Amino acid sequence: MRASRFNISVPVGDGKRLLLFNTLRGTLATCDLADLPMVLRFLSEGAFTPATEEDALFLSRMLELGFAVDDQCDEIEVVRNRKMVGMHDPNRLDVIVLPNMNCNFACPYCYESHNPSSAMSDEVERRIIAFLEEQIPRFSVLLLSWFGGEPLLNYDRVVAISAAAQRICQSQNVALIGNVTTNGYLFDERKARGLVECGIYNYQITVDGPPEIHNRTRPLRGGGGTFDRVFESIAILVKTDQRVHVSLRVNFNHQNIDSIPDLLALFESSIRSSLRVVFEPIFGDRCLSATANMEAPEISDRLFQYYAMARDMGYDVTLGGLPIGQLVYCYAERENQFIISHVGDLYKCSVSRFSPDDRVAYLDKQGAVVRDEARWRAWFGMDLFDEKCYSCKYLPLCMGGCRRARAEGGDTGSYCKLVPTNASFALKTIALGGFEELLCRASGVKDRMVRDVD
Amino acid sequence: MTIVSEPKLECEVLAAAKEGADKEQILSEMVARAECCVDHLCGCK
Repeated sequence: MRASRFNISVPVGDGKRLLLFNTLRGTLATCDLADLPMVLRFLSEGAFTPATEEDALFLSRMLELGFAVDDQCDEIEVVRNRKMVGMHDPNRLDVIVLPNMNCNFACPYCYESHNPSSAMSDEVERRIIAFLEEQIPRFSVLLLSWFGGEPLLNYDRVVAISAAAQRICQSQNVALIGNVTTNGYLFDERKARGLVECGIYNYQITVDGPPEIHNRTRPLRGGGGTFDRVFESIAILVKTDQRVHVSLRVNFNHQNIDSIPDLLALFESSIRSSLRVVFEPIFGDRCLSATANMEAPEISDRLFQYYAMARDMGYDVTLGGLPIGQLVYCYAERENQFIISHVGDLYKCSVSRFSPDDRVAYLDKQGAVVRDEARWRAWFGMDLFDEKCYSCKYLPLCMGGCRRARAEGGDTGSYCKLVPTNASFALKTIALGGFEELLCRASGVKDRMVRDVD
Repeated sequence: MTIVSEPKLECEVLAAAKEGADKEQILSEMVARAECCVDHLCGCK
């Protein structure tokens, strides 16, 4: 028997107590003064030969809780198997559709190249519906996401394909989860109702702060503010149907992070419970990047503070808890996930320029997926994890970091390929150095000692 | 020692991604996890 390689310990209460967390099994325990000598001995020696019945009982309990493992247990193989199972998940089909690569906004931090003449043709719509008819019956759940560009510039296309997906899902008894990532400028009551009737209840709309800030960071392409219409759209949406949920996203950096409280105060309290707040650091350009212009602990502290504030104000704050049992790092690692561009090319990662040179496959005239084998293999063929991941205690939570960053060797804003943007809140706290704080909160401990023992 | 959260069995971890998983189980796993792809797609939008 030996100690698990995935134990994390955090001293609390002047060192008189210890939090013990196992990232593989998800066990979280608090050890009091009476337990400490035995626990510290266990952690420092890896495990030990029991000399007394009490020792034997203690070790048996540690084994049961996953803090200790049998000598035959290969914990790395357990994590590798999880990743393989997650990548080949046969139950869910993730389809992200880009009906155009055009946008009516000109956000300075946007990573996309927009083309005003890009829009999906009837022929590509037909191929996508053929693809859905062929694929959906093989799965239990369809996750259909609309992205772009700005998808609502092609509202009719969104409705046509969503309605087809809804019809196929209903006939095949497949669950549909629909969502739209939109800048929110083009909504009205008719469009909101039309999308809800297609089974789309989840929306992400970004507001970067009160009007004077948002209008600077999310202006119209031809100039002009957008706050008032976006703000009104959010109210229209949540009042359309009680099943509607809006992720109210704030893209922040050093220039706007402290305007979050002012923004939160602007929404009517009656709709706040339908708004799930999501604060995301801006990445990319160094002048605008949050991680390039703010210290990680500062970001982490502010996130804790503003999420707590939002929760107190009645907003939906769902941070996802500790990501125990994560199978893949993100959707792009799943084999049955496709981003379909307006010309019918298929991609994996949504942070892309969607150049034809990067596609991994395309839809043929029958809606069948034709792989560009070399690019498909390049995406899926890389090692499951980078070498240094194997010695990282957080590996079962993060599952290896961003595949695109790994392929391109790019800077992610943290010490490894874990990206502090868009990852779940717990993964952000790992990247930004606030994970021990999160553990303390999860266990109800308030008097954390700021010192690590690992 | 006070246990705040119990260990998850490996079969529980893998259940929603295995062949023949129950639809409700899959949905509840997707919603509960609130992972990147449920709440929002990657990219500063």
